[in-house]
Amino acid sequence: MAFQAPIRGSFDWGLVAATAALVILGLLMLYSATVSENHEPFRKQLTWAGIAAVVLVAAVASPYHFLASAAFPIYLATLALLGLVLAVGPEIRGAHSWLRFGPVSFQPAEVAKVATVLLLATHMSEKQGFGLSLKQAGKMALIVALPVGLILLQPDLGSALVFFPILGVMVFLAGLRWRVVVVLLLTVVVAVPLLWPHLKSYQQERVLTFFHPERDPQGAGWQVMQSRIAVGSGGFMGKGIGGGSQGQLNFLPDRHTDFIFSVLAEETGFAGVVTALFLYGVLLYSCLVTARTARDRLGASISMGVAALIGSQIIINIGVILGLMPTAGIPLPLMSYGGSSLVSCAAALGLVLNVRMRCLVN
Amino acid sequence: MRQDYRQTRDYHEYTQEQLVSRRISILAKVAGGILGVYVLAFWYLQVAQGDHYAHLSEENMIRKVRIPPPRGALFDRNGKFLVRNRMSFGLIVHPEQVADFERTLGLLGRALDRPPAEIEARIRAAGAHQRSFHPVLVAEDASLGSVAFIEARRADLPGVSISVEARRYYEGGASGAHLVGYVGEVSAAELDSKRMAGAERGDIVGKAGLEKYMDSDLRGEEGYRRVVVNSVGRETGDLAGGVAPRSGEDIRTSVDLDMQRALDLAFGPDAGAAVFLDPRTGEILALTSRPGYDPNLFVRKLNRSLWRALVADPRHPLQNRAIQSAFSPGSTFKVVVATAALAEGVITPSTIHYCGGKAAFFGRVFGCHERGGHGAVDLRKAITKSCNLFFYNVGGDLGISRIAEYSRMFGFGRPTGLGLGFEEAGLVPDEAWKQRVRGERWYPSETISVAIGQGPILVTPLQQALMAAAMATNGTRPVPRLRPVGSGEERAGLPRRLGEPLNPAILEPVRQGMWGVVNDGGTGWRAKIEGFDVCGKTGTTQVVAASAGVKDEEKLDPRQRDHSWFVGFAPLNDPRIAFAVFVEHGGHGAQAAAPIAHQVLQVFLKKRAGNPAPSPPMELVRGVPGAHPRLF
Repeated sequence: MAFQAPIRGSFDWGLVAATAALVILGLLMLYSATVSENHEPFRKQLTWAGIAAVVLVAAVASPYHFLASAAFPIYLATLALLGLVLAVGPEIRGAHSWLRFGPVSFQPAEVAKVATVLLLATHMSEKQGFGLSLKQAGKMALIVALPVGLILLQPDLGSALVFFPILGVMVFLAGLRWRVVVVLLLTVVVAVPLLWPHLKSYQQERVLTFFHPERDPQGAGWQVMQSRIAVGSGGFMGKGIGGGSQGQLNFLPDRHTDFIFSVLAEETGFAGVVTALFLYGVLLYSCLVTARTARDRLGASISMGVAALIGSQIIINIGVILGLMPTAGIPLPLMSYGGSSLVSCAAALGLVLNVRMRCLVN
Repeated sequence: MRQDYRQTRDYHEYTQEQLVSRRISILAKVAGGILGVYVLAFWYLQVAQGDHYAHLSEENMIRKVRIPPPRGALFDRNGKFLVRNRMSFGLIVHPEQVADFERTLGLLGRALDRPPAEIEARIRAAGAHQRSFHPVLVAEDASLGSVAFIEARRADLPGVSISVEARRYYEGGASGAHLVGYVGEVSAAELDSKRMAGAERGDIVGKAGLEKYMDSDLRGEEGYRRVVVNSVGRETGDLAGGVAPRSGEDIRTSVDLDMQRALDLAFGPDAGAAVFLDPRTGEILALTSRPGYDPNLFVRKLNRSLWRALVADPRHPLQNRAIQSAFSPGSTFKVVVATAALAEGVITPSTIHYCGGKAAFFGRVFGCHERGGHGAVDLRKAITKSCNLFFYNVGGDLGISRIAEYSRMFGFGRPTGLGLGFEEAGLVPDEAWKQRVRGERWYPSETISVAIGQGPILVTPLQQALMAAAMATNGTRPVPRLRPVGSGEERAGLPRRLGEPLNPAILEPVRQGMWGVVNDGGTGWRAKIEGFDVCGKTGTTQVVAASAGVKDEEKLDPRQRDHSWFVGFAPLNDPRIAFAVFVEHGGHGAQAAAPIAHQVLQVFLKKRAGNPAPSPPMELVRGVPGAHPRLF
């Protein structure tokens, strides 16, 4: 892929347009998928979209160096929120993931994703020379491990999972000595069997069902099958918005959250799918171009961290829709119902716009 | 010394930047590659396999809901209902729509006059909880009063609805039960049979009688609706493309409901069987088997204890004695022997035998029921007085082969072909039979017993009625039928009449004798109807040897009393009706069976005169006590 470096620092209207288009597409699908709930989630999400716009502007407004200098306090604050949610968060669907402030509730895990990206990027910019030492790698691993640990306690496997691609991309960019690679791999090999018994039974079930779908034709396997039927029956042009029988007749569980892309695929067909994937491609492309042209390592690291954060969620979520991955419980950025996810995506993309805008300013 | 440019900080940063750029390109290619694979995957699912998944999606949401067809009605020959469908109301609760559960249970309890806890238990037993949308049937066949109570409080009872379905209603109750039969849920074995093609579990099908043997006509063809259902099976809408059910055929039968009721009424508590038919066509006018049962009790789910009681009943109410039981014909058989003797020239109408009360044949002494003897007896007197000695002599002269030959000519020894289920063939004994079954030769003394209808000969009441029909007409017997002639139901390949016609000159003396039985001081005087010239022959079948010497039947244990026959036709000239009445343990044929025939014939006669007797009230037609369902 060839990158065309912008001649001068500019506002990335392409990224803004793609973001807005995806949010509008998401709202459209949300409207269609929530007929039975009288479009209540749609109205809520509309409000969140307004909030997200404000947050995006705020993330662009102050120079990213200034934000980076506050990265550590922000990180500590989100850790505190993650601790708080374990203490006082109500149990919803078996997990303590939500904090409620009056009418507003949000997931601290979504905030933690952005805060962690920022802190990791700050850490990367302080590094000199090629390759990470074991100490540096360990420090980065620790930055990730604290929020991941707290999120796993909720427990929210999906959200915890997203931190690893972020760390992976950061480490890949910094370069690793083989010694470090081996240590990290060993850590994973040891961690999996240690963590497995601590997973909730429904999480174990998800993983097992992915490898053996026939295990559970009624539960998770059923969901994957119904998603595949929804996608496939959409055909080339789809069944029309509001006309998807799989979504409208409730065959698709979680259709307005994790499975919103199935609704899109069913109602707008292959044409709609390609449009949405193109828009996501524009999003990721913008992040990568910004990373290439950033004036310093901090800007590049922020952009790549955001690319990893959003890109991995897109890839995992749609992979689940296609039945290529186990059901992970990861929302689709910008489209899934959920204010926290939308706002944190907006903040992350705001940071990328911020970096792009200031790539030539001294 | 000039520093190597490769050691400069600028160069170092430059190479670093180059490295990072290269790695960003690698990541971009990985991400682009994954998105490309996803596009291909979507292409495969949506475009290449789109039709397959569109089909699966339709299968997901479209269900066929069967609509059972209304079952055809059965009419009697005059268009009166024998069996019809009545409306049956069910009370249904849709738990999720119920606003106030306690209140609803209370009102339902009042409507059904049952404790609310019982209704709640019924809902729980159906596996439904308070939020379930699966409807629960809380009362089957609810009374009109309950339905009215619910309807009047419709606004207070959201989530309670009333279902209406068709149920069989048997007009006659126990009267004619064996003829009409009954329906029930199709059994597993029946589902596998060819006859029930298309039937599904829970379907109501004919189980016995006409309901069974006309089932394919009565059943009709089911239809279906196409409905859209959601993921939990709740119907959300109708689709075009359903098929309306085709109602079962309404069938007119040959039965006369008034005669049928009169017959059952006349029987009273006695066990037995009777058949009345048109001797010219074979149309069955009335057919009963007693005791009966009320088929209305079987229309849906069979009550287990009731069924067991019926099966275990020593009087076997489920058995159709008219066609499934064979008995000794007793003296009614003398009609056959007389006809055979005349046809074979063994006697003439004026042949005289002397009856002294008893005589020895082949070394054994045989008695007449008239101890003092009948004196000089000709054919007519032999029939009217039912003299045994006359027929001992005639039978001995005829021999068993010729008696068997004429018995078969009159239709004994094989099923009649009525088409109402399993039919007993009866038994016509002869030398070959004895050799085959008992392994010994026929003794001539056995012929003497058979000549008066005792011994091994066995006949069914229907066979007897057909024999009477043959006597009434020209010696051939009609094929019995349950649909009127000309109703389109002519069973292909079957002749209308069976047997060889006899010379009227041969039949006439026997018919005259039968007239005398009823009208000229004979044994069947109780069947006499002024001006109708009823002809008949009584018969008594000894149940145990003990009864042989007992004159007064009343003193005997009812289970040791003789069986009673009365077989005949009317009127003498141009007969319109033939019959056989059999009363188990009824004593002498003259006492029990003849009055029953008399009552039914009177109804027949009045109806023929255009002056139909009012049907007897239902309550008088006795069957299983208290068996009639409430009518609304």
